[in-house]
Amino acid sequence: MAKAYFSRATVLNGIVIRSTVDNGIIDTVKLPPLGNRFLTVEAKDIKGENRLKVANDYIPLLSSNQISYRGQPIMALFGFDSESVQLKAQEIDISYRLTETQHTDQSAAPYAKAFGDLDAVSKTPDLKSYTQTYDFTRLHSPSYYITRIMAGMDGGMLHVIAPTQWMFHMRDSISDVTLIPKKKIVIHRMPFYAPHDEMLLTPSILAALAALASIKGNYPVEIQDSYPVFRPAMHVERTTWYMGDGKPVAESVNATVDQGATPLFSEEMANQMFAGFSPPCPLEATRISIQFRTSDQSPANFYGDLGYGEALASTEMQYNRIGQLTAQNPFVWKSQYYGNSPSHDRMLLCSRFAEMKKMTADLVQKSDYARKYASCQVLRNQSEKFSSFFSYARGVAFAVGPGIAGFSNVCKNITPLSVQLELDTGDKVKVNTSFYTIGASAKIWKKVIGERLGVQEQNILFPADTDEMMDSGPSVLASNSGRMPLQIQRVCDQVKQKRFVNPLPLVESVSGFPASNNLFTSMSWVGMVLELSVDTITFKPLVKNIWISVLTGRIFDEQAYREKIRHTIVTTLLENGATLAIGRNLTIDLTLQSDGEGIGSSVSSAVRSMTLATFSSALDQALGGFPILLPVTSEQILSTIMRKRV
Amino acid sequence: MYEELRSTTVHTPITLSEYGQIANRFPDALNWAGGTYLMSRPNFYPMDSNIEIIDLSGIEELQRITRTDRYIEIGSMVTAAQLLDTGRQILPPVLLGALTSIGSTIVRRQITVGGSLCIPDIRLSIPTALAVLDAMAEVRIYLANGKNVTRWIPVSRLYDKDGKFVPFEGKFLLTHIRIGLQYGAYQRFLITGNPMREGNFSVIIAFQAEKTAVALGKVQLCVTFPKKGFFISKEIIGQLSGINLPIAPKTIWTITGNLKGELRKTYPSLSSLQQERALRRFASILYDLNTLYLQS
Amino acid sequence: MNLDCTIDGKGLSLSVNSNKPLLLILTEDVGIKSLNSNCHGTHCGNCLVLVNDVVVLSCLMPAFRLKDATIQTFEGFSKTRQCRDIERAYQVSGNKPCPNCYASKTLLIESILQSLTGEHHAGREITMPGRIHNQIVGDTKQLDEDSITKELALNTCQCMDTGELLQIVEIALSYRRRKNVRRA
Repeated sequence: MAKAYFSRATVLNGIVIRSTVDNGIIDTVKLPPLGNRFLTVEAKDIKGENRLKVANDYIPLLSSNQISYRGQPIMALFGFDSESVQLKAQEIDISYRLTETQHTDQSAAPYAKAFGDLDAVSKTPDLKSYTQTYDFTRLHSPSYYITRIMAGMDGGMLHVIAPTQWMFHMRDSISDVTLIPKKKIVIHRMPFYAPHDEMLLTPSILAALAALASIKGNYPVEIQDSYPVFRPAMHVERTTWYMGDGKPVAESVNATVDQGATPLFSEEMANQMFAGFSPPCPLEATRISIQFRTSDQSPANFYGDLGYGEALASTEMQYNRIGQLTAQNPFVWKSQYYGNSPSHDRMLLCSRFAEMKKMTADLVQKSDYARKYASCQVLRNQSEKFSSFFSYARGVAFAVGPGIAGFSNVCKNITPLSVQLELDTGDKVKVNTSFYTIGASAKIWKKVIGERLGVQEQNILFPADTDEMMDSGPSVLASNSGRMPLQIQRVCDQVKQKRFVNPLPLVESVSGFPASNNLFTSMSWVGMVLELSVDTITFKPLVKNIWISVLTGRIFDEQAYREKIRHTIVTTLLENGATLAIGRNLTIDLTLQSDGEGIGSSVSSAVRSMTLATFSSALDQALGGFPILLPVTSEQILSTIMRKRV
Repeated sequence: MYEELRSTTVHTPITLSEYGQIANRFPDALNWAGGTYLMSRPNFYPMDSNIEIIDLSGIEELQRITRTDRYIEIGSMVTAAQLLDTGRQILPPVLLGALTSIGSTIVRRQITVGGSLCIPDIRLSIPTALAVLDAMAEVRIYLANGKNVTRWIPVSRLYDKDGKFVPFEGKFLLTHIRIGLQYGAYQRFLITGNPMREGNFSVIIAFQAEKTAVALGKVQLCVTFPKKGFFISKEIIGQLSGINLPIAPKTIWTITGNLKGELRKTYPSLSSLQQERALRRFASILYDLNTLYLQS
Repeated sequence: MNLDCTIDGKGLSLSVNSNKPLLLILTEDVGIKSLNSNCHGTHCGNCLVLVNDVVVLSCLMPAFRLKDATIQTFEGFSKTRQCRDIERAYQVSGNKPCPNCYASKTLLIESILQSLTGEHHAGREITMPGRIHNQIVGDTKQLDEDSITKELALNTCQCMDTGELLQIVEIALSYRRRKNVRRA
């Protein structure tokens, strides 16, 4: 472990100096006298590229001129102790020439998918239509967690000790920036926890700065930073055309996504959102259009997922409203109309609709949803529910959606996504992947290999940090528990075919996935019912009861699975403005249905999505109509109540 | 500690007279009580200035709680946890409510009563509760000429209407707080939102009244908006004093409406959320009074 | 100033600024890894440590108050029997805090267990000079669910709801009380 190379007492401590304006040009940078006790890293110190390649896009490293967002890195300052560095940083005087705030469309044409002739179908006589907007505002992860990265040269090699979700990206970025050959860079991976993908790109930026400092100062360094990551803001407008009996006929979705100053992964994000926006019911025509925009805000892309959760949530909220408008219980409406359809299958091929409907029927019965829905609808029409004397308003909602994991089947831009397996004598197996190999996911892979090849799990080894590794891509979108086990299954099958035929050692590898006509395939479903009330003194929505059912393939560790689902629900609710009933007044009833075969798609994104959808729909019912803007704030609830009064 | 940094000098007096000597020599020194406010300031550390700190934790006479027949006297360095533990049986409910509203014992152990009164720009639970109890604060002021004066000031007069601490004419030290033992049987302390984490949206209300046979007497009311206001309205208090119980809903509506008008006039920049929360909490206190009266 | 103290069982003499927060001393001067956040004193609740066996927010504890103190971070606490009570409770309940707040939530639960079992004040009289005397006796102090919930709210990480945490506290308390009875 490279930590032995660096002693805390002999590293330079560094921080990143960031811009304090939203938009502008750097006029002057006045540095105080630094002497030989401080070291700066500026754009002019970069021998290689002053940017990091991310798929087909680039993200700037240090700016010496144009400022595109508040918080953009300008330079880094290092010194022998952190107090001196922080005080010296306060003396750095950067002046800016401000420019006007800009919002621009990133591309001339939006990403679009269409099925059927929407213009013709929407003109069908006797059709009704319903249009609703859904707004998901920018969110950020907590800004008090600190990321620490160490870098230093030793024996001609650059050692970097860092947490990262994308090891090869970090190594390649350091190489591009410093011009050190990739073979001379060793990344020692530290454990991390990144529910919002905090360790995807930021560590690469910090590692590049640390590497530059270490080379310039000929000293090992440690850089620390606590800049958050952001969820992109999304505005969605949906119009559904339906018959008088509620049967949906056509759908149009227009979405605008603000990815901040530097859009990244836009094409893949569009694919993920197409899968979420596409309604799982047979329609004669659909049209989905997603426009990406830039603005003078920090880049926003991955935030636990890549837009699927919010897109799917809008679909569920929309059809809850349609169900309501047609005087039906939304569950009844969805049971009637959800099913396979060509338009949906192209985006997201789902199976097991029959089992899904049985699962949701059981869910609805267990939660007594139908009765509660009816009584909340009655309450919705009462006028006095907002008085401080009768201090409550109640709502209940239902949602169901499929789970997906990993990148779309057409995604080519994100590295090869490879994994290699070597079977040697004595049934020894070496799995070569750049993913983290400690934790619950690695245990799943070992189980799959053990079962597939009939080897003992203790004979399965992973590469050390200093070994040559296969690039398995970024560890995002539940890849380590979704895509990776499927890839490992495939490579095991390849080895099995040649076992006892070809001599050992047998080395097989797989990259990516076979071509497919669908963007995604799902083998899991999540159904949820959520009940809440609104406290009309504090104006906070209080979630009381949640029932959730998950239908999936094999579950390897049920306790960990349940814990993850519960964490996801609680975190999503609290992030989006809910308060939870205190103590034992909150119930989260989770039912798992596993068929024990096949690896199911990850449900994290779907759980998030169902939580957003049911929370929002229940709040809408409680307040008798609520503009869908997440996260919810007490001010919004108050202004909704006040508008109702007038 | 490194060459370029000069470590902050910390003085540790053990008596008030020793404190006085230090205060006269270093009038700009920071009084350090619990430290929770000072350490939460941006750029608190590292601080590149030659500041002096006077650590009050060694002054024993500031850590006493004494009781007579007429009042309780609390040293300014008594922590919220100590006060709650010691005074659970004797302290007025509105003050107990304020102390428990701080939430965690871990934080209560670090907050001092005097320190919470002296925060310059944020008003929180303890001052609100003490204001309705007519508590008095003993303040020692160390004048530039080397003399010092001692005054007893009502806690409600320590702040202006915007909740800012009213400065004294010299370096000062709040030493004791005195609370009379005659207080109303009806007390309420209500807090909405988290004043530390959402200071712009939270509201703190303390209320105290005596209940005679059929009417309210000796009413005290204080409404605090942590970063914006410290509101004591003689008008509203006047409207409630002598009011017959139960209070008719129409009267509750009228008085609440008057409170709304007062808040709008006094705090035009108050958000509608904070205002509405204050009004609804206030109305709920009055409805609660009715319930108690009808139950008795 | 020269700060002499014991950190996780090791006697140390550190040269630090007198107003340096304990959190920064532990992360920068001592290299404690379990402390991974700094909210600058705004009560995120993620920097808990034990000072003289009492749980404190280390970002609000200045160096000049730590003379001869015994400090135990999560790294030291995790090796104790008390920590095992809490870890067993996590296992039995099937829920545990996320890695970001695991250390602090565990110490927060420890603080609650200390209050519920009176472990630090058992039998000790706290005498206020003057006329008020108070005695806090061990094993009799009761905290209701509401108070425990308020205690747990100190840590702002949103990974767990209070119901799960209450269950964990209950289970850990039963282990702790059983242990105390056995030792008594």
